[in-house]
Order: sequence, then C-alpha cells, then structure tokens
Amino acid sequence: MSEGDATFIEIHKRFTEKGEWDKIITSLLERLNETGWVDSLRDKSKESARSMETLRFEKLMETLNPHAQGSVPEGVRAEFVEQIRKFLESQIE
Amino acid sequence: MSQPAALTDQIVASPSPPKPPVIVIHEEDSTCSHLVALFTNESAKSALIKKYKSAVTWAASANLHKTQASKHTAKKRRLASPTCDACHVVLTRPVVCLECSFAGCWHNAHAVAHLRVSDHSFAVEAKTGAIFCASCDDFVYSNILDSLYDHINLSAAEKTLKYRDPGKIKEAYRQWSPDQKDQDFLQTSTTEVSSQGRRGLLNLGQTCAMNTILQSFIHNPLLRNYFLSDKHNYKLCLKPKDCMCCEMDKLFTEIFSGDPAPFGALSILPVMWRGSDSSSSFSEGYAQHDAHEFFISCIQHIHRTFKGSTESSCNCIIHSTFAGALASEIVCGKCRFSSTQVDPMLDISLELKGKDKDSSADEPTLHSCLRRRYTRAEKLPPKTYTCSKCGSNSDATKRLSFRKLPPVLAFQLKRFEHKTADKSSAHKITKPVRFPAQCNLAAFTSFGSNSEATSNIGPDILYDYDLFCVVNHEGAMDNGHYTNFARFEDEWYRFDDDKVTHAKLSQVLASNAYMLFYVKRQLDYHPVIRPSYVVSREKEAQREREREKEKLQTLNREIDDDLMRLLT
Ligand SMILES: [Zn+2]
Ligand SMILES: [Zn+2]
Ligand SMILES: [Zn+2]
Ligand SMILES: [Zn+2]
Ligand SMILES: [Zn+2]
Ligand SMILES: [Zn+2]
Repeated sequence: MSEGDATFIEIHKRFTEKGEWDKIITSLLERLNETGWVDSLRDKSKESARSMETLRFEKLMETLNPHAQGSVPEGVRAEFVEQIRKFLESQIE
Repeated sequence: MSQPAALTDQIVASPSPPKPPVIVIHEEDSTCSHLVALFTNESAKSALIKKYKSAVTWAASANLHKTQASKHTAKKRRLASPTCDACHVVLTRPVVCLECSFAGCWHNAHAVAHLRVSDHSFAVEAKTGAIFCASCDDFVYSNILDSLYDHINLSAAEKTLKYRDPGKIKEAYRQWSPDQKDQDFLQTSTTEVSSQGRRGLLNLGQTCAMNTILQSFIHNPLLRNYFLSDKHNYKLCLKPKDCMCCEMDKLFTEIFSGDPAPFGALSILPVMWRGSDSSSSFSEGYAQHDAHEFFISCIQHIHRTFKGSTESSCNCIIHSTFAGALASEIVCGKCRFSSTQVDPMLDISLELKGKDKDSSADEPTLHSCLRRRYTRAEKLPPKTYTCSKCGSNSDATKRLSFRKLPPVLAFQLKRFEHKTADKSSAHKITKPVRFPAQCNLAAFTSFGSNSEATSNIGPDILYDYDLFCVVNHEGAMDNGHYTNFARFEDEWYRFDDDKVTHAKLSQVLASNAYMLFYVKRQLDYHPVIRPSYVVSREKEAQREREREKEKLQTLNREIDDDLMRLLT
C-alpha cells in the first residue's frame, strides 16, 4: 500500500467517524437531484443497459463513470469541494 | 372470496405502489442459474437467506440511523462502520460474502478477489441488496431476494417509527398471499388479464384535456387498485344515473379489457354537465377547457357520488388519495405568539413568477417553487393581522407548510395568467420548470422546517415520492393541445389522445409540464375501520329484526291468550 493510500484511508475514516461523510453525501444527493443530475444519470444508465447486447455491470460502469463525473454542475462541485476543504482544515492542527 | 384484513374497506395498495397487485407469487425468477441451483437445496437456501437478511438489515438500520442522526443537533451514538478486511478503508457501501464473515470494498475489487481466493460463490452489496455471483462474474437478479430486500427495508422503517412515537398508529404492512381457498378460486373462477392498462383515448371533439386527466387516473396506483378490486361495481350500483364512480368503474373496465383499440370515453362529459350547476364552466356542450379545471371538477364529482362521502374528513376514494392538509402559522413579531390554521387541500398550485433568492440555479425547479411558498416565513403587510395576545399589528410573519402529505400529490404549474376576467386576454408562461422523477418532501412539512420538531419527522423514506404522470400543454393558449406522459412500473409512455408511444425518462423530464402527479412510495395504513354508513346500516337492520321479533312475540302472546280463553 502506498503512502497516498494510507493517508486517504485515514482521512476517509475521520470523515465517516465524525458523521461528516453522511452529511455531505446526503446534501450532495439532494442538490444533484434538484439539478437533474440524478435523473439524467438514471436515464442514461437505463438506456445504455437497454442497448447493450449482453448486459454487464462493469461495462455499464465504464461507460457511465466519465459522464457521471463530467456532468456535475460547476457550482455544485465548487460548493462541495469547499465543504471538504473546510473539514480537512479543521482536522489539521 | 376471503379478503385479507388489511385490504377490506381500505384502499388496496401494495407497498411500492407502481407495481401491479401480485396474484401468483413466489414463482422463482432469477438471471443466475447458480443461484437457482443453490436454492434447490433447502438448507443451503436458508443459510444464504439468513446471511443476506443480516447484511441488508444492518445496512437498512445504519441508513435510518444516519438520516435520523443528521437531522438531530444533539450528537447521537453512531453505529461503528465496518472496514474492508483487505485494505481497511471504511466501508460506506460494504460488500458482504454470503458464505463467511468477510466484508470488503468494491472499488479496490477486494470483495470480488475474496470470492475468487476462497472459492465462495455469492456476495451482497448491503445497501442496495444487489447480489454478485462469482461464476457469472456479475450482479444477478433474484425475485426472491429482491422482495426480501423491500420487506426488510420497509419493516426497518416501521420499527423506527414505532420506537419514535409509540402513540402513533402506523399499521404494519402485511403482504397478501392467497391461501388454498383463494388459489382454488383464482384458478377456477377467474381469467387472467394483463395488469398493464394502456389504451389511447379518442378525441371526441376537443376532449384532449379530459383525456390527459383520465390517463392520470388510469395510471394512479390508488385509483386503479380501488376500481380494479371491484370496490364500486357499476353493475351493482344502486344510484339510478349520473354516478361518476360508475363512470370511473366503466372506464377502468374498458382500459383493462385487453382490447387494444382506442376507447372513446363518451359518457363522462354528459354526466359532468348534468351534475354541474349552471355557474360552473362545465355547462352543457362545453368541452375544451383547462386540464386542471377538468381535474378539479372531475374529482369533486367522484367524491359527491361516492357512497358515504362527507363534507369534512371524508373517506371516499378521492379524499383518501389526494387529501392533505396545509398549516399556516402566523408569528407575532412583538411577542412571538404564534397561531396556526390548518386547511385541507386536494392539490397544489405553484406560481412560476418571481425570483428564487436562495437558489443559485437560474432555471426554476419544482423545489425552488416549493421552497418559495412552503418553507420561507413571509412578512405580512402591516395592519393585515392583529395579534390576539398583545394586540400588535405590525411585523407579523406567516409561514406555510404541509401538515399532512397526501398519498398522491397533484401539482399545477400556473402557466396561464389571467390579467382580466376576459379569458381571451390571458397569456401563457412558457418557461421550463425542472422537476425530478423522485423527490423527498420532508423539508416542506410542518416538522421538517421547524427545528424543535425535527426529531418527530421519522425516517426520510416516509417522504419519498415518485413521479407517475405529467400533463403537458402544447402550443398557444387558445388553440393549444394537451398530451401527457404516464408511467407503468419503470417504463414511460406518451399519450396523445388515441396515439400511445413508448418514451424515455429524458423526454418526460424535458417536457414543458403543466401538471405533475407524484405518488408516495410508502403508504400509511390505518387499522381496518368499518365505514360509519355500513355500521349504521347494520345497526338499523338489527333494530328492524328486533322489532319484528317483538311483534311476533306479541302476536304469539295474543294467540296464546285467545287459546287460553277458549280452553277455560
Ligand atoms: Zn478493500
Ligand atoms: Zn467468503
Ligand atoms: Zn451465477
Ligand atoms: Zn355508481
Ligand atoms: Zn370525499
Ligand atoms: Zn403579539
């Protein structure tokens, strides 16, 4: 395991233990649903699955991931990056 | 036929409303031959189901705990999160082996790696209940585990509700399984028909507005289940004529008859005309009107002709489907004294004008319209309200919220603006409003927006709604045309009078909506209560029998007396 991985695991652990992770995920999902991101991803997943000759989860994930990551509205992304940064700063003394 | 207790005199509804009523259940269905093979061995099956249950139950209660905890200001003890047995990352979505105690991550492929090395066959993603089969090397479907997943999540939610508020009555959902008698009856005396009622409706001369609203009824799971379970049979109805419930029953009978040809709902408009007073817009011959007006008028007709309907706290099919309550709370700015008025509602009309200050999005959304109206405290103009406690008449604020959310929420987006009474000068607001396929309305309830009461709000899933019908108005205001989208299970269809075509979710959500219909994902059940009119009818019959008996006794006594006189 690389040092980067270990740091990630440690930070991730703090996020979940403090309940910060759940809070961020819940409000992120709410925001993404209001902007239509959730529905457009659902629609894309469904239509891609429908058009696949043999349906495979991993292949579906491969096609959807770039779209999902790329289509998060800029404002929402900036807002949540800021929230994460704030929490991180509060953790480093 | 014996009916399950939960269904008699109640709306017949399944826990996930869009599904059709299940009649023949537990016929095994799976995409994985390995799982099917394993299930033939009873002990292996029960061992796997036991592990599946415990993993999914854990995730369900962790999830409920999370939504509860994130709303509380006070810190609560959190359930310890498991970590991946391979890389020790905290598992927010644990993948659990169904043959040993391994829990691992999906992203670094440790869960799949475990199955490979240990030669174990199945794992479950605890949060969604999805099953991964090592031999298929993919997620697989099983109807048995699928319905088990729904059941576990529903009962987990019901438990927190009881725990939270022991005084509140929430009847636990019970699945109906036909017993031997029911099975025999179903096999010998019934014919199976498709549970998909999908039929175009003929345009009978500017009746597209009516057609879209009728499609919204046909696809409304509560109305559909009510009429399909024969709660109002038009052949047995005692009303001599103009019964709107009978009209609905006939409509459902036609739609589910299996005949694919478009149907002309000829008799509905005349019944509406005859039942309306002359001041209403539904006077004789008038057909082309606003879909929302038709909706309101039609549900009122159904309510009025429903046996046992009442003016307040009515239990008719319309009120049990659409009725909710709005609370308007006025707080005095001087002494903080608050008074709340609760009003019944059957639908929600939303203004499209005005700017939403809080939202960064430029485009209005259903949520931004709701936020503007149902969470924000609005300053009342001075002298419009006088505090009953301190007498002050300035600085009062008013806030609207949902006191009771209905099973089916009907929204009207007010696209037609009438500047004067003259209808021809009205104009149409064409700006798009974004709306979601699923939404949670907890934030707009009286509990959700009041910090003291948030602990009373209960699990989030009790406020989840799914979109099932969208009514659209195309073209200009005076010569426009109504169409609609409606959903059956997870598929959408577009209805343009007699034309019915398959549609994608993206098309539905991109359409310029005029009305939106959402159905609550988890319905509240009441304990079975016999309707008061049935009870009083039975009491009357009982009294009648007693009177008859008394009469008979008196008569017998008189005869006896006569006989005695004769004998002596
Ligand atoms: Zn791992
Ligand atoms: Zn294992
Ligand atoms: Zn398999
Ligand atoms: Zn009738
Ligand atoms: Zn009623
Ligand atoms: Zn006052």
